[in-house]
Amino acid sequence: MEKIKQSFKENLMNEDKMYQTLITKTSKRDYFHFLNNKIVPAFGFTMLLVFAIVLSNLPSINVNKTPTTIGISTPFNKLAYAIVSVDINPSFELYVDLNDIVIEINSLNDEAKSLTLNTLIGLPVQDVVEDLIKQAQDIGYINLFDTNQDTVIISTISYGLDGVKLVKDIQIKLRSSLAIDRSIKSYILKATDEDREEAKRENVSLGIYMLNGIIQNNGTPMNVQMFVSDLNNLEILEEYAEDTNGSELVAIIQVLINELNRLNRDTTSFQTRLNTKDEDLEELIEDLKDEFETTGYSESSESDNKIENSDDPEDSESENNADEQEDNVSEYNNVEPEDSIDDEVEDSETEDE
Amino acid sequence: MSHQHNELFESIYRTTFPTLSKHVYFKVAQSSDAEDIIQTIYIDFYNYIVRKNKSVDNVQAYLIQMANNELSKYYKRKNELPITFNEDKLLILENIQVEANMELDILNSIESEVIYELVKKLPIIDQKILGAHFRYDMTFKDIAHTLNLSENTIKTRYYRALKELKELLIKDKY
Repeated sequence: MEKIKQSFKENLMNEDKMYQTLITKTSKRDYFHFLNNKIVPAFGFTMLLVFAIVLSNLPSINVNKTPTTIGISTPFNKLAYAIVSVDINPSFELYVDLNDIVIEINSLNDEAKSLTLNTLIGLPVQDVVEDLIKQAQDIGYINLFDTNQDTVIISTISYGLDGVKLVKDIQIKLRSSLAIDRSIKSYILKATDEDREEAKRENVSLGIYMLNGIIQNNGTPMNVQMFVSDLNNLEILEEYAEDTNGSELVAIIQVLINELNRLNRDTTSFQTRLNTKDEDLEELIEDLKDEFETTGYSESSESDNKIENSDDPEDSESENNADEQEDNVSEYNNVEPEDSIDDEVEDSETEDE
Repeated sequence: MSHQHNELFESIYRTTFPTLSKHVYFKVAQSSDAEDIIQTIYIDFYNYIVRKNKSVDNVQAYLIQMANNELSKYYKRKNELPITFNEDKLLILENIQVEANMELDILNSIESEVIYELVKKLPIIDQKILGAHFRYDMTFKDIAHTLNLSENTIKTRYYRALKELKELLIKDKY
C-alpha cells in the first residue's frame, strides 16, 4: 500500500484504534465488568459500599441529573427528544421533537381524556402546556378558590433536546400567560429516564412519582392535591422546583408589555420601571397583570394575538402538522414497550455517499 | 462489558463504522472532533441500546440520527455552523493540473506518521480532500458531490495539496 494511503488509514478515523478506545471506555463504565475482573482493590470496594449506603439515604430521585441518552420512542414509534409530563389531575405526557413541537400526547387517566387534545399536536410545547392548563381550568379540574387544587406539576426529561431552554420556555409562557388564572401555581421539576421507568413500574405519573420522591414518601403515593395540602411539602417543592431567574423575569415582563402595546395601551411607566436598577421584577409582573385586569382583557383579543403571531412560517407549519398528526394522540393503555425504538428511525436520514 | 454484549457491539460497530465515520468526517472541520463525536455516539449506543438489551431495526439509520443530534449539539457548543466550502474562495488562478506522480513518489518514501503530521498543517479543505481520497477511497467526483464543489476544484486542490506536502517535507528537512 502506498505510504500516504497507509498514513491516512492508520491515523484518520482508524476503525481498530477507535474500537479499542471504545472498549476501554465502555468497560470502565460497566460496573459488573469492573467487579468481575477484580480491578477494585479491597479499600476501593469498601468505599464503594459506604458510598452506596450514603446514597441509599438520599432521595431516590436526582432532579438535576441530565440523561445522556438521545431520543426516545413514542407510543406510536416516532422519535421524541424530550418528554414533558403535566400533572394537574388530569395528567398527560407530551412527546416533543427537536424543534420543541409536540408530536404525541399520552392521556394518563380518564380525566385527561375529557380534554381536547387533537388540535394540540404540532404546536410548540409551551403553548400546549398552557392550553392544557386552560382547558383544565375551564372544565373545573382546577379550583381557583381552593389552594390545594390550583397547583400544576410539570416534569421534564430531555433526551437530547436542550433541557434548560425547554424549562425556560415553559416558565416564560406560563408566567406571561393571560389565558390562565394568575392564582394557578406551576412547578417545574427536571426528571430522568430512570425516574420515568420507576414511575411506570409504580403505575403513577412522572409528576406524582417526583413529588413523592422528594419527600421520600414510601407509602401510598400522594396526588398533587394531597401533596400541596401539607405546607412542609410545599416548602420542599419550592426548593426542588426550577427557579425563574432574572433574565426569564425580564422576558416575561417584555411579553406582557408587548401585549399591552399591541392593545394600544400606554406602557411607558412599565418600560421605565423595567429599565430601573433594583426594580422588583416580580412586583412589576404583578402590576402588569393588574393592568390587564383593570383595563379588561378579553380572550378574543388574545386569540387575535395568536392569529397575528401565526404569520411566523414555523407556526403555520405547526398548524399543518396538527392536521396531519391528529391520529397521534394516544392513550396510556396503548403504550407499547419502550424497546421498540425500531421504526421511527427507518425514515431518518441515511444520506451518504 | 459482558461477552454477549461485546460480540453484539463489535458486530454493530464493524458494520456501521465506515458509513458513520464518513458521515461525521465531512460535517466537522477538525478530524479529532469527528473522532470524539463518533466515540460519544457509540458509547451512548452501547449504554442505551446494547447494555439494556434493547432492539433497533435499522441500526445504521438510528446511528446516523444519533450522529445528527450529536453534530447539532457540537455546533451549538462550539458556536459553529456545519462546514461549507465556498467555490469562489477556493478558485485557483493557476488552474493547471500538476503531475502528481513525483509528489506521490517522494511522499511514499517517508514514514506514514510523518506524513500525517504534515497533513495537519494543510488548510482544512485540503485535509478533507486528501482524507476523502486516501482514507475513504473516494473518487474526485464523489468528493466533489459530498463537499458541494466542482470536480475541477477538487482535483486542483488535491494536486496543490500534494505539492504543498512535498514542500513542507523539504522545509522541515525530513
